[in-house]
Amino acid sequence: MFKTKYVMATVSLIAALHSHAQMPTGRDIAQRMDDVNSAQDGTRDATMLIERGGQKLQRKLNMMNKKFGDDERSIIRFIEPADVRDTQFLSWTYEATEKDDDMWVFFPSENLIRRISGGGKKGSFMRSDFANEDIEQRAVDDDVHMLLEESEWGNVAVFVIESVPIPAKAKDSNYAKRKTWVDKETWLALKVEYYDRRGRLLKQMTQGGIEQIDGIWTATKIIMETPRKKSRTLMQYANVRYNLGLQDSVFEQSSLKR
Amino acid sequence: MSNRRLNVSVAAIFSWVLACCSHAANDPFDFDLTAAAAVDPTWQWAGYFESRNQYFTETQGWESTRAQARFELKWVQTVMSGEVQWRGFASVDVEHDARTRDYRDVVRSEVREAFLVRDGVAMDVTVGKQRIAWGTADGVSTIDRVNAVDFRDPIGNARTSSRRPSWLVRVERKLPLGTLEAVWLPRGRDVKLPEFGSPWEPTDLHSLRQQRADGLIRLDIEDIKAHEGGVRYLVYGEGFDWSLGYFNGYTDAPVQFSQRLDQLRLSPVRIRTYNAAGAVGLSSSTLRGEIAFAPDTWVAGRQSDLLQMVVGWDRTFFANLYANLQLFWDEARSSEESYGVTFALTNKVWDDAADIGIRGQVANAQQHAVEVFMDYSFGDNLKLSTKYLVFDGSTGSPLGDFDANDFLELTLRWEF
Repeated sequence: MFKTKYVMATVSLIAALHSHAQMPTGRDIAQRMDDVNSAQDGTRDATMLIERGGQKLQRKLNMMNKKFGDDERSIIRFIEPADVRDTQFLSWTYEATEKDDDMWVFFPSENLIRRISGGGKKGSFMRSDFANEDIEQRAVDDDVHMLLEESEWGNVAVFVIESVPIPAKAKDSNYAKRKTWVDKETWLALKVEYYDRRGRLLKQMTQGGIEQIDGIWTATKIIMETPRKKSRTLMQYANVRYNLGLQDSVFEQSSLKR
Repeated sequence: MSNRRLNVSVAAIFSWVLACCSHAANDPFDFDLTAAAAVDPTWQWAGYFESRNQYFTETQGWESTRAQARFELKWVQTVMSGEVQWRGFASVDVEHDARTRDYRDVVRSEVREAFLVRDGVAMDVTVGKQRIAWGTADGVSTIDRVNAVDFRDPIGNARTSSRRPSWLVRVERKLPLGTLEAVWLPRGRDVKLPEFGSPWEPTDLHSLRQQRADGLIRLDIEDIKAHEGGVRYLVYGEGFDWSLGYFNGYTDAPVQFSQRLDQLRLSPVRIRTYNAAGAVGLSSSTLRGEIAFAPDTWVAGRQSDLLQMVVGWDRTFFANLYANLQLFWDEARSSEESYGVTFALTNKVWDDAADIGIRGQVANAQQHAVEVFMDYSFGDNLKLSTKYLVFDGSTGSPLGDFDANDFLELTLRWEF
C-alpha cells in the first residue's frame, strides 16, 4: 500500500515537472505568433469602416509586404477616400531593436517621395481606431512578453500573454502594455487589449473570419474599439494572396508612382 | 403520443433556429465590407468641385471667388506577365472667377497634367505634362526647378509657392545602388507671369507695364520657349537618402533688363544649377539639407555666382503635433545675402477631423508671410478650409510686394 502511494506520488511529480517544462514562455508564444505568416511575400486589399457617433467613414487600401531575411518591407497604397487616393507609404522594418525603421511617403500631386520619421507612429491611421503602430509589423523583441495564464475565450483554448515595450521602443508607443489572447491551434491573436501608462484600457481589438489561405492561418476581419470615444473600426481583408514571388524592386522608392 | 413527439420536434427545431438567429445577431464578425463598390483596376475617374473665396482685408474686397472643377482620369494596363506596366493620367481644370474680370478671363480651362508612363523592371519612361518635385526641403527649395512658379496665383501656402506642371520627357534608369533620372523639357517650363493689374503683380513689373500702357516706353517681355533639362542620381538607403543633380534652364521671372534703341526688353536668364540634397532619419526626427551652386547667373540685376543652402528639421511630437523648421541662405557677390526661416506647426483635433496650425516664413528685408489655418473634413468627401494669411516686407522685396494682399480664404471642396 505504502509502495503504491510512493509510486503514484513520484509519477505525479514527474508529470507535473514535465507539464511545467512543456509550458511555453511568453516570448515563445510571441515568436510562434510571428511565425504564423510563413510566406515570403503577400498582398491584400483592405476595407475599413469607421463608426463614430452618427458618422461612418470608409477607407480602401492595398497592402503588399515581403521578407528580406529577418527584416520586412511593405507598401500601403491608399485607394479611398478621394483626398488621399494614390498616396503610398513604403516602410522598411528591422528586426534589430536598436535600428530605427525607414519610412517614405509618396505624394501623387507632386510626384514627391519624402522620407518621414517614426515620430508619427502614435497617430491615428486614416482617422480610424487603429494607430499607425497597429498597422505595421512589430518585431518580437520590441516587447518583453510574459505568459499570464491558459484560458478559454469563446470556447477556444488560448494562452493569455502580456507584452510590455522595451525602454527603447516605449517612447514610440501609445501603449504601456498589451494583453493578448492567443489561439493555441492557429497561434493567431483572437483579442488584444491595449492599456495606457495609468493601466487604463485604451482600446480592444478582436479578430475573426479566420481561414487558411494558401496554407496560412489568416484573420480576415478585425474590429478595433475605443470605448472612451464610443468609436469602432471594422476592417476586412479581401484578395489575400501569399508567396507571389514579388520582386525586390517593388519595395524600392522607384516603384512609388501614381 | 405521436402528436406529442411532433410538438417536441417542432419546439426543438424552433429553438435551434432561434439559437442560430440569436448567434448570428451576436456575431460581431457578421459584416461584409467587400460588398461596397469595387474599384476598377484599369480605369478610374476622380476629381472635385471647389469654391475658393479670398477676401483681401487691406482693400476690403473679394479678390477671388473662384469656382473650380477638376476631372481626373487614370488608366493602368499591365502586360508581359506583370513585368511592364503602362499607365496614363490626365487632369483638366475648368474655372470661373468673376472677380478677376479686370485682368484675366472669367471662364478658363486647361489641361493640368497629361502623361503616359511605361514602367519597366530596369527603366521607366514618362512623356507628357507632369508635376515633379525635386529636393528634400519643404518650404524654400534650391533644387525644385522642373516646374515654374505660377505667378498668376503664386501662393501655395505661406511658406511655399504653387507650381505649374511642365511638358517633359522623363527617364528613370534603375541602377544597383540608386536611380539615375533625366528630365528634358522640349519647350521649357510653362511660365505664366501675373497679369497686368493683378494683385500678385510685382511693383516693378507693374510700373513698367503701366508706362507701356501710357505710351511712355516700348517694352518687350520675353517668353523664352527654349528647351531645358536636368539629371540627378538618387540613392534611398537605410537611414539616409542623398542625391546629386544638375539642371540647365532659365529663371522663372524675367530678371535681365536690356535696351536696344528705344525698345526695352525684360528677359529670363539661363541658370545652370549643380546641387546636392540629403535626408537623415533620426528616430522621431528627420534632418534635411540642400545645397545648390549656380555659376554666372543673374542676381539683383548683375551677373554673379549664386550659392544657396537649406537646412531643415521636422518631428512629430506626441501623436499628431508636427513641427517643421528650415533655415535658408543665399549668397551672391553681386548682392546682399538673402536668408530666412520657414516654419510650420500643425496638429490634428476633433478625432482627426480637423488640421489646425500656423506656418510661414520670415526673411531678411523685414519680410514675413504668416498663415493660420484650419481644414475640417465632413465625412469622406467634403472639406472646409479656412485661412488668414498676412504679408509684410520692405518695398521692392518679394513679400513686400504683396504687402496689401493680406487675405481671408474660405474653401469648400467636394471630392469624388
